[in-house]
Amino acid sequence: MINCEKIIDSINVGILTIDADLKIYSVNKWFAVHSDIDVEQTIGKNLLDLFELSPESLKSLKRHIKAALTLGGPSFFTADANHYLFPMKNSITTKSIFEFMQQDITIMPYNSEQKQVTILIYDQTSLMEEKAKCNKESEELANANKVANATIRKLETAKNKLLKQKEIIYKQAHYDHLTSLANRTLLTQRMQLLIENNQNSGKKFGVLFLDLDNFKEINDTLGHDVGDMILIHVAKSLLLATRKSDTVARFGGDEFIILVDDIEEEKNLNHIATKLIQAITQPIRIRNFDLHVTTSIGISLFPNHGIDFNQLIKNADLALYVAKAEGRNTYKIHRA
Amino acid sequence: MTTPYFNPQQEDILKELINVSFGLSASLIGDMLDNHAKLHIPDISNIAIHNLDDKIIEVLEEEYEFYLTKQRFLGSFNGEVLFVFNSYSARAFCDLLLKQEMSDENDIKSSILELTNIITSACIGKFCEIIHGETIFKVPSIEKREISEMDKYDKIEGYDNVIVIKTALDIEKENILGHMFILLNNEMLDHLKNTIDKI
Repeated sequence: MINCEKIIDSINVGILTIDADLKIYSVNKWFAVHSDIDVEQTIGKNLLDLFELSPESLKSLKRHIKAALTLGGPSFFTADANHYLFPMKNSITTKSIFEFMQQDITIMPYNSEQKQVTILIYDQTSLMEEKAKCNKESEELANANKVANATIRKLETAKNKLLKQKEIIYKQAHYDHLTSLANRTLLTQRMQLLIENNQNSGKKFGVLFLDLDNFKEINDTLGHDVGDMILIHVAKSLLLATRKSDTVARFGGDEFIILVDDIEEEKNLNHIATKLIQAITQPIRIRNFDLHVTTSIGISLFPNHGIDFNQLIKNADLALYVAKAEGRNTYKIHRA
Repeated sequence: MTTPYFNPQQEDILKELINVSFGLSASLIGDMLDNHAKLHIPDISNIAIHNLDDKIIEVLEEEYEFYLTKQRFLGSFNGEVLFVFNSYSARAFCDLLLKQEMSDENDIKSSILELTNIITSACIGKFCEIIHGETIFKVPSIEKREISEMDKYDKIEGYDNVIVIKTALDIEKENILGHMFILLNNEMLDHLKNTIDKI
């Protein structure tokens, strides 16, 4: 014959039978040990004599008892949502975050007529401890992730700022601040590149040296601010009259240099120079006045008139001098 | 489109069975809340198990966070019951049950577990009764989930079919809306259908 009482007293689950008024009918050894009470003295007592339940816990317990009795099935408290129902001391000997044992509780109908239920108490403290540890780690990980993301965002902002600054510095170093055209530095680099490329391919490129006619007089009579506006306008006109692949640079004051690649014949340069002169000749409207500006152009050709920067510029300048001497508003190609 | 598991006659009987268990649940819930509670006539549909996540997203509509309870039942009639409540309904039920000024996450979870415990016990109990089967319930669990994280949660395995039951509970002016998902394998579904046919 199996001794059920012995089994009930040996299992690692708390078992007690109570009625709807919370009168205790039986408890097993587990329950007695964890409640620090004597089994014999417990029978007939009220559960509230043993435990101080909060009003909310008491209400909840009664609801669960009613549900179990009405439905004839189990009703559950979980450690996950409730932590514990009966304040039993936590028996874990290592440092624990819980003062009381964390409990999963199942309330089963025992005798519906006498409104009795059996309460099964499972100690889930270790499990909950592990869960809390995991949650804490997850939280720490999430926080670390947040900090890392914030740092990444900050670094990205700093990187963008640096890129912008780099861009600004590059622009300041390579472009003219007034007209935004290429400056001498960039012109030198571009021409060097053209020389290297064309030396290998045997192609030609033209260097057009422009100087606005009588610009000093305009500056002296209308002022430097008007002079600057004219320079800006001329720069725009030159950009519009050239290809994207050409380099238009401000060489200094009212001097501009244009590098035109892929020149097959000298006559191509005549066409370009004529187009530029016409573009500059168009009246410029400043402060309700139509101003008329003209330019003279001196042209040198790589490699015919030079194979380095200085030679090409020098020969274009010589041609410009001839154009100026011949009455301005015209162009001249260098003759060796 | 999913082929219905139940023919119209079977569905009527199933609805009637669930209605009876809902009546019992509503009366108990009303007692719990000291209030009149009404569970609407259930709206039943079915889906294949691989469509479960999509269905959950669908029933939640625009809601981002939700509470999911899970409870297995084992024995000659076995399966698993899931409940899904949006955050608003979960908090509203908790407020009605606990009548507290401030409720925390644990209060909401324990309230929802009380509610689902009643409906599950009544409903599955009724199925067991007609099948003449026996079942034991495992301890339920509840967690708060986010729709955007759906792919990261573990998938439930071992079932083929899901009976979806819309549960709308009217208490005072509140409408607590939840969805019950009964997960069954093919054998259990056939068992249930055969029993219904004999009623």
